[in-house]
Amino acid sequence: MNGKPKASLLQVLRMVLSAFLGIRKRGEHEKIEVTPLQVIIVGLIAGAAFVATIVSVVHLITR
Amino acid sequence: MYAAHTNDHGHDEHSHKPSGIMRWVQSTNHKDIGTMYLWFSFAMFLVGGAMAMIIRAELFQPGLQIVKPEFFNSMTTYHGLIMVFGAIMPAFVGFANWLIPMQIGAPDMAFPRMNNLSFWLLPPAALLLIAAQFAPGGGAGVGWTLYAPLSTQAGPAMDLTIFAIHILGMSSIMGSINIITTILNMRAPGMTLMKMPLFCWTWLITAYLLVAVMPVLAGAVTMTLTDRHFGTHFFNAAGGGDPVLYQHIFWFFGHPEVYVIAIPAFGVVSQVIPAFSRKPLFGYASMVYATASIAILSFMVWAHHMYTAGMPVEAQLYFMYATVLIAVPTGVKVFNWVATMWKGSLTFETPMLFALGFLFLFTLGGFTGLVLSIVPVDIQLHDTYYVVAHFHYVMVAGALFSAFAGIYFWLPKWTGRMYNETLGKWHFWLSLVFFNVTFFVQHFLGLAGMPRRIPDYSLQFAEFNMISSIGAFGFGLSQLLFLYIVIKTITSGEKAADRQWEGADSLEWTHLPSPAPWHSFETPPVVK
Repeated sequence: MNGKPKASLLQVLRMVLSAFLGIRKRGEHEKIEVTPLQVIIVGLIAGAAFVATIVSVVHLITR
Repeated sequence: MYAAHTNDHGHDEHSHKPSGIMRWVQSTNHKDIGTMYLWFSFAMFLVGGAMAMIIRAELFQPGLQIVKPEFFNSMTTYHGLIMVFGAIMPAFVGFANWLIPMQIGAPDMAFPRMNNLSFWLLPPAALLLIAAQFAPGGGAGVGWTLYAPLSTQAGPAMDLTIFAIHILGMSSIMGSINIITTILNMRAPGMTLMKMPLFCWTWLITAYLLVAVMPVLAGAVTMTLTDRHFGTHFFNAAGGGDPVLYQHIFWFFGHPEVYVIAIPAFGVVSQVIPAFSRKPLFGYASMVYATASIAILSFMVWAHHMYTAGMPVEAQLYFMYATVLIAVPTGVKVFNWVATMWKGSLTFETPMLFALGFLFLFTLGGFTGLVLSIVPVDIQLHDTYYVVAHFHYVMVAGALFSAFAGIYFWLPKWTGRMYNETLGKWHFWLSLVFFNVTFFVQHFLGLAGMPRRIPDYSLQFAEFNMISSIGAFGFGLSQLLFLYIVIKTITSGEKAADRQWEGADSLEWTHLPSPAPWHSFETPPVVK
């Protein structure tokens, strides 16, 4: 694309987590360059982490 | 935002539009195919609606008056299948065909011939579903979920139904491939993904969902078929299989399927509400992200449909927590639509009324969904009329109202003529009132313990069932008014303006005349 700075892992993670909540600041996505591959990989990892978190919460309370 | 008005359609009067029946049979034109999808879905809506009328007529009073229990079971089954696969899904594919190329500035869909095949697979599938009623033993009374062991023991109608679902699945997958390719490869110069109207985004995400889940359903019904005829025992406990396996596979498809229906509805509403609020959609980017995350999370909650089927308490808790959490992005979308209207200069033409009806009633359906996601509550309410009320709020007041909003919104663009606003408002208010008369009381029936899918019931449920049936007949008749409005618009509606709604700002309104020419954007517009 153009000369936007590339997104760091932390920025992509922030983006995916805010997407899970459904909240996103307007224009934030325009400041950094994010590739679909980054979003998909981080999204899948965050999805797995989401499941793992709930599973461990369930594990804790049913012990 | 967009480049100057480039109306290069002066040559339309001598565009080579084929005539007669072959125009439709051989069509590769996205607008003609979209029209066929929409008419097909309306025809199926009437067939499925007639089945609903039979159901409500039998339930008007306790006791068995009109139909036999086996036929009643078949009606509940095919009402569900026809409405989901024959009416709602094709309606939104019709919207996709008509609108996506125009909204992204493309001349047509990416694979026009595959588009033709996607559509023409539907009528044979519909015929199979209808023909199943006439198979020996009558239609399969297995419920739209086609649970084993009922489905492995049902008569020959089940085979017709399985084949119909295979065909419908193929059609959906091809349609989805077409939509994904069109959106990713055929956008006009300057039309970046984040500039697309939200409707295109919702369909892009829905298409991925469809490609992911339709093969799962095909697998489930194929296993049912081989269990029935080829000696396998996937779902037969006596042969080492497990009927609960079917439920897991079905709902791994079935829950994302809810979003396959709901997400394009979100897309339509996200076009209509900003247009009549005369404000851009609040939080466009968050809507895109929320839709994508709803799609991903929809794969992780399927077993909340089967709490009572038998599963460890750990699994129940997991699916309960996950389901409650997935409501958050959906709730954010509702807030975004409300915020879009906030301080807007609102007007309430028919499309906006249906969009608002959607907003109120879909939210109600979402809330009852949350109620049902709580395991101890669901153990009480599972398979009662509370569930029937819940998913009709999502499917009818959600998806169908949104489709009505979209049809009234784009009818001027599609036909070049304006519908009758007074009649449109009548259609809305009749639909709204009768919908609630039909389905709101079903919450009470469910809370009182009336099971679903039964042709007869205990006397204490009589009053609410009578009210519900009266509402259903009213709702059904109101839809004939809709048919009249659409036909009257096509034949003798007033001439519509190119930009009929001043608040509408997507390319089909800003760059194309009404009616949209048969070929549009042969030269792509430049979007700035």
